[in-house]
Amino acid sequence: MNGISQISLAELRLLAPMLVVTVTGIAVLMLEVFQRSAMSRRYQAWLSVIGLGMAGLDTLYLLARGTEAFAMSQLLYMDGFGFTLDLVVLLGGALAALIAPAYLESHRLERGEYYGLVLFSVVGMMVMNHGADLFTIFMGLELMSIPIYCLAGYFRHSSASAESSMKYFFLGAFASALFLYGIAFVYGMTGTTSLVGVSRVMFSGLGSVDVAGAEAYAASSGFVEYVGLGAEGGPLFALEFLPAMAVLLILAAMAFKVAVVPFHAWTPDVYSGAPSSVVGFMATGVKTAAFGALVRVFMVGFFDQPARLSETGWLSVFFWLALISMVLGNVVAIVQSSVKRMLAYSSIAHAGYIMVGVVGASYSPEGFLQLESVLFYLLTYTLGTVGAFGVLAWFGKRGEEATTYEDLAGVAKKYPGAALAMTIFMLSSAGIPPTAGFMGKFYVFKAAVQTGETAMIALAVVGVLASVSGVYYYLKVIMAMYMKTPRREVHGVAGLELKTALVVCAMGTLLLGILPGIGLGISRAGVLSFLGAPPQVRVELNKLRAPVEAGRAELGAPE
Amino acid sequence: MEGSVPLEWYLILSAAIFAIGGVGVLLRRNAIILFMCIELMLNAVNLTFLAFSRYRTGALGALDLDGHVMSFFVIALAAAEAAVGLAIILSIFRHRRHINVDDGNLLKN
Repeated sequence: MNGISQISLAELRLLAPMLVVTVTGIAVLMLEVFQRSAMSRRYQAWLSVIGLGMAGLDTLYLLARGTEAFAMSQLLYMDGFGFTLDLVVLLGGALAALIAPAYLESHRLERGEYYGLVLFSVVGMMVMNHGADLFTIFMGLELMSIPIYCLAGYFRHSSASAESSMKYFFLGAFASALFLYGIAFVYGMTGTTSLVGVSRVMFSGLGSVDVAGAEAYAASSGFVEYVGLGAEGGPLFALEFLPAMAVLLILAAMAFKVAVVPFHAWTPDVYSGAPSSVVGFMATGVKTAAFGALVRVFMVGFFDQPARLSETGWLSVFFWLALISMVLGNVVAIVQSSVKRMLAYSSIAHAGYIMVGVVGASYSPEGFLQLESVLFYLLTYTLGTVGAFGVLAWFGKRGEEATTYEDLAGVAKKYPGAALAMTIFMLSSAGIPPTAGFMGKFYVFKAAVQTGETAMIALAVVGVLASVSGVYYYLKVIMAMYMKTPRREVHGVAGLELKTALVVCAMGTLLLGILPGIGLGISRAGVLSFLGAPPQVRVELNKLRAPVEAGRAELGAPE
Repeated sequence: MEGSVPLEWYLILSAAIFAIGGVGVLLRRNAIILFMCIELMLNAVNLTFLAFSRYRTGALGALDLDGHVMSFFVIALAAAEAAVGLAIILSIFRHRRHINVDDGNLLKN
């Protein structure tokens, strides 16, 4: 937080996407106040989609312009990286709104607050995507999470939904407390919570790189004597111990939100109890925003050499988190009898794959561009996962959610479209060409391999093997739909909205699988304009950006 | 700052409160007690923020109010979480007539 300054119109212009979503959310809530209960509420879904779509178009425009600026007294980075993540989150929110109407009607729970909560949560995610300050990220995290606690318990008549909401709430609140405690330590040590400020003060003078600098800082801030550790050999201990605690606390909180092992225990319980349309949203949106914030915090705030590359640095922690998540997620998913729980474990495995991309990209400044694989993966993952939960929503009705493999038996005969869509999503999740999931996995593992480090290549190999074992349980879903005979009549309710959402997801999955260049181009534009990147990274990015800028000048595009 | 309570005393106190809260969340089963433990953790964080803020103001001679501002945000957040959390606990109670977090195993296979 850097003092008080006036908000300029130019800044406000950059915040337009967030403001549009906020206003849409408020509008939907107000419409609900004047709503006659007998009237259909489908228009609210479309209104939400229009709001999110407008925000998306503007985000795309800002991204194409190569916008890179601070906003709100340097509390937000309005850069391409954030805008790309925004696009993914807005897509997830719009799909969640489209899946809802028929689903909520068949559960007799159509209410405007559903859309309002989704929209507010999307705003929170966007704030996280752009967080330039630990505190902004934290506020975004809460704005994202609190509506989702409510959404998870949206089926008031269902005990499972209430339980899932309670579990998510307590673990989420626990994680926020850890995050806050980490921020408190960072603030105490550096006097700032801005990510750039943190990296400047906390790590630049730490460890073997610049002992004299660290001591000078410690002396000038008066920190050491006051903490009471004395000057004789004490200062380095004080400075090494507290940053480690801070990094650990923040890392644990982030790991909770992205759901990687060993912080995953809530995922299957919460996913299986919450309404399917909500699960699709929270599996994708929360993961996207949390990964965005994680990349920001660690690559801007904590990027410096010793904190990252030492034996206990965060890079090695990420390495193990990725490894265990991929293996455990896939193995445990095999034995699940509920499709929703299977998808929950598979989402843990997906978090592991994404983590591989993060590890590969943060290994060296030269590899930073590989971060595009993370953005691309999040996009493919969103399309496949929201779609899969959309199909489950198709076959759920009041008191009887479609959760097991048996519930999907024989779907293909009566609803060939739904079965075909689900097949595409499952193949994409399994990473089989020509679907988007295959390209996503390819780039993520490539990010690890390009480092040339043995351990990283081993990580990629484990990832490939784990994802091969994952094929088994994804195919089980397809088998159930096409080959099993149903015990009782399958019955599904789908409206135009749900079908639109599934068509978008399926087409997107195929399109990105066949022509990955589109998604990759957007992701690359996002990574190239990563504001606040550490100086070493900035040098690399500028090298890569030069041809882009030249091309832009040649075309005579306005700056 | 002669004679004032040193920073580390505050830090140790807040660490102890945070630990009590954290252990409580992991061990206790009653939802209301869980909720109180989370409040304990948040207030321990507030104490840390305020202690650091006061220490920085004293030691550096500059007026550093960021910690105060943040603790206000945390208080607002705790209120928002209380509103949602109590509503969730209420809805659990309607279904089960008790609020123990472990007893309902609907969501396990």
